[in-house]
Amino acid sequence: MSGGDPSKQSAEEALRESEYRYRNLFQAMAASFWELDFTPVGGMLRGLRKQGIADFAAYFADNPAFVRQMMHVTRVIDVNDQTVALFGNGDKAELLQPLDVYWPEESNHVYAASVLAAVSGRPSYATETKLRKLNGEVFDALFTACFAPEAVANGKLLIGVIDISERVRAQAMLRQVQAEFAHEARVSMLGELTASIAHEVNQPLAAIATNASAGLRWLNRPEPNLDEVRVLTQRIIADAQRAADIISRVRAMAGHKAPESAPISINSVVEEATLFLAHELESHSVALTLQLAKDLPPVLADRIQLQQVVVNLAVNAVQAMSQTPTKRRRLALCTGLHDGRVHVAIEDTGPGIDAAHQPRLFESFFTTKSNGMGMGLPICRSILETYGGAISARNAESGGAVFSFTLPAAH
Amino acid sequence: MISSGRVGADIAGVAEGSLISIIDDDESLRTALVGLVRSLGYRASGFANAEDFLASDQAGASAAIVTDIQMPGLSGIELRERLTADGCAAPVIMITARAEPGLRERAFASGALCVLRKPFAAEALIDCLERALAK
Repeated sequence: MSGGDPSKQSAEEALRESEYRYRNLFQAMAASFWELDFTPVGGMLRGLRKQGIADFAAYFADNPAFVRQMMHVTRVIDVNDQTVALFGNGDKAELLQPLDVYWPEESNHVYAASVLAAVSGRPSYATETKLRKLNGEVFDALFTACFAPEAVANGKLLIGVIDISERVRAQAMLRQVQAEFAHEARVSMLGELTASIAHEVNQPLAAIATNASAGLRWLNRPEPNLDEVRVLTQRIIADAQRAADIISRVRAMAGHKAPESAPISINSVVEEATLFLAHELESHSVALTLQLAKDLPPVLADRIQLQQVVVNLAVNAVQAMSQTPTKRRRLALCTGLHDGRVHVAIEDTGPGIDAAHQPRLFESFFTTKSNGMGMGLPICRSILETYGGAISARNAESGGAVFSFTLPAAH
Repeated sequence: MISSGRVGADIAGVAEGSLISIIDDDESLRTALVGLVRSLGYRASGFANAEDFLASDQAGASAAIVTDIQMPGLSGIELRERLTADGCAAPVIMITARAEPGLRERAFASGALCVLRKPFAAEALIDCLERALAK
């Protein structure tokens, strides 16, 4: 074979060189690399086609055992040192096994998605998933599968794995700390709103006592009027329900439930927030305007945390208007939709934001209040960012401040 | 809390059928107060704010007025001042959920007959109404 044709010889040298570079990279990279032989998987897929099954995605989703079998016939033919260090116990040979050993059930969909990507001719597929070490430990991994056409033609496939468990742990811890901060801020905010909350509970209690007194009077007449008593008793039930609803909302706000993302209506969040604000607004003589856009899509967020953001921004707005003449104190809460994002704006008629303060508004411990901690706005921002949202502040044409936030619409 | 004897006295009283106007922005409390006043044998009409009350023709016809102090728009104290300016001398009973210093004094200075703090016993309001109607 060697000798004769000089062009063939240089081609062979180039190939050797390329092979050498590849082997070198394969070994030297800090990532875990695997070379897999999935030839038998091709046979299994051809078998499906023969049975008339064309929608592989649906078939894989309905038949996890088939996906496990594909993994089982996928053989590990080579791994680099990094893989031995990450997955094994120091012996490369014991890693050359069927692939399903490394694949926990919860990651079946990732293997299925890789097969679908290869079949559809995509050059690569990457995702975060969980993989299993030989000692059984499951860890968070960044998984990449590379489908080079010439390799795929030979039934070969290269995958890369990076251990991201530290990062995932740090993110989880950060989320927990943020949730705890948000909770502390919420409790402290509720403390400031105690008078308002007491007032909100007092109203239905006063109504209950008054209705009950009136009912007794109708009963104590020489000819008791039961129709009147019936109506009053129904009102007492409704007022007691109202008081109970207020208590349950306050309890939800004070509680320490782990935040969870769920599709929620931003308009209902704003309306519920006004429960905590009604008396605060009244006692500061602030007129409230609600401009809630109809037919807004839901947003994915934690309801209580979003309520916290709205209440926090509104309380700031009320405080900002303490020097505004009472007849001019107005708070507007507006919702809308723009470019696939749901908007909420909180506008006051206070003195507006000092240009010198503008750049630092959302920094921790920055405050313009004598008794403020400077944590309210940074916590609002961190809550919103958790759900893909953003917050900004500007001055309105009328001179007051406008704090607005946006969240991606959920579909 | 309320004896049947008292009820009989209320119904037989000179004030039976008198019109009492009730102004409170909280709907359930307003409805409850209207109901209590009716159970005493008086006529009652409720208003959600002072402006609506002034715009009605009830001010001149009211034997007594029960009003919340903090409301959107005119406060109960401002209402009393407006009524005095208009020459309406109907006695005014003020109710409030707030305990801020000086509020009672300002309410009395504006001419309130009674100032009651929410939540109040029905008895207390009835006593005030009887004093108002005895005037």
